[in-house]
Amino acid sequence: MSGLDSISLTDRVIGTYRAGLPSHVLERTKELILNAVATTVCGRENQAWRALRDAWPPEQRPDSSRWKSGSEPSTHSDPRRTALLVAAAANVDDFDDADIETLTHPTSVNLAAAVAAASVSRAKANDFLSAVAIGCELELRLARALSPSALDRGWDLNGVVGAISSAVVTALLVSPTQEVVLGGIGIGASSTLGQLNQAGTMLKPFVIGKAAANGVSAALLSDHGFTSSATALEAVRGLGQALTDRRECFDDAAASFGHEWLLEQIIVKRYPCGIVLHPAIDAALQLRRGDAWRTADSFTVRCHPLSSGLISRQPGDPLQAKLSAAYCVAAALRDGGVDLRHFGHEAVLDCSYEGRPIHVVSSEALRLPEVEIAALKFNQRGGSEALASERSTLKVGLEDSVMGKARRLLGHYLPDQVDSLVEGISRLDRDDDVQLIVSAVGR
Amino acid sequence: MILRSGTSRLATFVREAEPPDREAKVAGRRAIANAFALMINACDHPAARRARGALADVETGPSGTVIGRRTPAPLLVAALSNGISVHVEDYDDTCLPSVLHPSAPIIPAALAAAEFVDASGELLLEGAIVGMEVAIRIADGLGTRARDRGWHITGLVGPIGAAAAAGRILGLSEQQVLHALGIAASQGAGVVAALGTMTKSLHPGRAAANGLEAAFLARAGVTGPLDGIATGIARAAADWLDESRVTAQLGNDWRISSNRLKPYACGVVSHPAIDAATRIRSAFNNGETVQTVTHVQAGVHPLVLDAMGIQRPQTNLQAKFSIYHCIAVGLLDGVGGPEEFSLERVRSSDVRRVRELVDVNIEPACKLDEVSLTVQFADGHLRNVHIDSSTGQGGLTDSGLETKVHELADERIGRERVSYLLERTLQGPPPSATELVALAGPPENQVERNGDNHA
Repeated sequence: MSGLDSISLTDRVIGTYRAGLPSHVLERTKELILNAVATTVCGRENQAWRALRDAWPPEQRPDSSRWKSGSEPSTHSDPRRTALLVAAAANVDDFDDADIETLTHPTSVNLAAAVAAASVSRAKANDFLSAVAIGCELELRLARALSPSALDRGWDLNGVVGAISSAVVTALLVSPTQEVVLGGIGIGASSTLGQLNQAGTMLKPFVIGKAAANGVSAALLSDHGFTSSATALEAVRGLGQALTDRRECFDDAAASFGHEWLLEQIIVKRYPCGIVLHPAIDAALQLRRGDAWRTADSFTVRCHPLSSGLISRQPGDPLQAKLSAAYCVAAALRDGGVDLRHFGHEAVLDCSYEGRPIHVVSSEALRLPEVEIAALKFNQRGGSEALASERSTLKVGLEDSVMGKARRLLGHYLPDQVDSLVEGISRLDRDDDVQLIVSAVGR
Repeated sequence: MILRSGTSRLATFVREAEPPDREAKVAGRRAIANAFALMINACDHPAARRARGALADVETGPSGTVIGRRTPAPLLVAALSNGISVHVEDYDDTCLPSVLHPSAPIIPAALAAAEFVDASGELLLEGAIVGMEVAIRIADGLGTRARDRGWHITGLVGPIGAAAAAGRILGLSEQQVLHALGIAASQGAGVVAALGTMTKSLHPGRAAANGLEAAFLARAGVTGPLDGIATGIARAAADWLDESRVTAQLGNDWRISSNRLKPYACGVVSHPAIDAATRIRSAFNNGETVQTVTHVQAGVHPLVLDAMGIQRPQTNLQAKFSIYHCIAVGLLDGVGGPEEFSLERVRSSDVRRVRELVDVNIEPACKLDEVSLTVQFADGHLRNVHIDSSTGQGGLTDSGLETKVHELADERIGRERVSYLLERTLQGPPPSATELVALAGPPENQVERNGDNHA
């Protein structure tokens, strides 16, 4: 297909959904969902999430007589709010998943939309699973089409493409017709949000949550006949042009859709902080295995210039600490790892190792996302020399530990439901009922 | 000396601005009267009905009023629906050169916030004026780059103005306003490709709801970046923000005074062409009629064809973005109200015939509110009109506004009530939200249409 044609993209999405997805894609999606369910349950304990939850207290319940025929009201009767809170909880600890190229967190948004949609329709488990997979795939493809142009301008692609992919997820589960799905894309394209300056603030999880909520709204509007442009992505003065000055930026986004799957490249996070910091933590842990670094006077963290601006800040609160290389490296050296307790509201935000400073320096010699850490000792000539150094890059492949991570998180917050949730997610392609998962994350 | 960011200065302005001067208050009152008439007229427009149908029964939260209807809706949905209603007929208002439509995202947000706290009329009016002023200034600061890229300025900037209005009315602290503006700024959205569809009106409707929500979030302690406008939406959408244009004479020079209430129900860049067409029509003599017109040539600013280039509109919303249709109804009917953009008029044979006679060429030297229109008749003679400022240059006169409001609202709530609504909004102590809602509501004996609360 030459050039993006939203109608053809819509038909491919629906065709893929109806034909069924390959088993390896479904298995990978189950892992992503398991991880996201665990981080959602965990994220509900985060103070920032609770502030979002409590900012808008519901005071009335809707009239349940207008549910779509064949469905029945569930305990989650506000799908927009459900989507917002589930996605925000999944992401608030920055412990969900990520695509390093686009800095997106695909499963949080698209799972949230699926949970919201399942609360207003009789979604079957396999449909739920397929919709999440397609949403993640679409989000990745659209985000990569916009990267790096839109990122360089300062757009947060989570909010930009998340609003569109979550609209598609919702539309597939509510009414998988060309009209509704295409309309969801058109309205979603006018419902984007989020800029990168919100990183390290409460706004980041809010934007991810709102992207999911906007997508749910877009699909519901489309389902009710609210009209939109059928070419909102690729038209003159459409979203592609607005974001990148190139309306043809999405041309390859639908190529091989349904045959080649990018979602298998999504990285499940090992540390609850910005993905760009993971190599720095790994390098620090490698350094820690030796002894030569222990008498260092200071440390340097070298990274690509595109990273250094993002990760060199001195954090003023735990959310900011998730983007602080100095803080995360200090924690890794001191404690032998970085986990949720390092970002709790009582964490001491010490960015030095035993009083020895940690400096972030940009280096053109390093490629994204490589990081090199050096332990330095002052010498008699007034300079310093390296006692030890370690280089690391992003390690893909937490797959063997997804189960361990999920069980650990779920066991802490939902000890009585761990086994049933793990089993329920593993059977999403076989069972009919998705309500166990919806109840666990959407309450 | 610590330089304060533009967002910080705007937050101080929102919190502490003295009551605006007389001209600004008059502009604010006129905008409210205009907006309420539009909300009454379009409360059952398919766009508003479908939005409520999709969202009102599934959204929770405190209640608000959909103007023109009796059934309450969740506050955010009410703001969204009202914002859609103000803008859907493209008959609201415009600030040039940004082409911002300030009333639609801000007055519904101000109304919703005022309902929530039962605010006085003075506070409601101040909130609306402050919110519109903030939006107008930010739009000015963005220049034309965002619009040229394809962003709909009203959707991009509207949430910020709405947050400002709601923040003022809810009594947020300066720090809370700062965060509300940042939260709202992160949600600027809407592309020009949506013109001609219902989604265009969703841009200000959603902006009203998002700005209101941002104010509530900030009130509850949710925080965002401290300079959310310049480093966020402005940088992303337009590469930069001319902060001097945003903050110059803030609180002394009220730009809301230059806000134009629309005389025609279509894209503002076509208004000069309608002016020209109606002027030619009114000067017909010696057997000249529209039926004897054989060709029409219009010379326009480049943005006009960009925004209004639909040659053969199929829907009423598309017609509002068709310079061809606008000229046709100007020549045929001499007016450009909602009736001239109804589906019936779009499809009528006389309009279709005249539309096909129109050629439009770009005149690079043309200003945005300038047009040259030449009509050729069957015998070969020509008649030309050149407009270098449209009827809306100084806004509708008071009598023009009065006529417009009656035309929009009499059918739904009765002429007497409309007269009283006008009197209260334009003169004397400004009415509170409670009073406005009561004045603008449907008569007690009027049955809600379709028997369905929100469809």
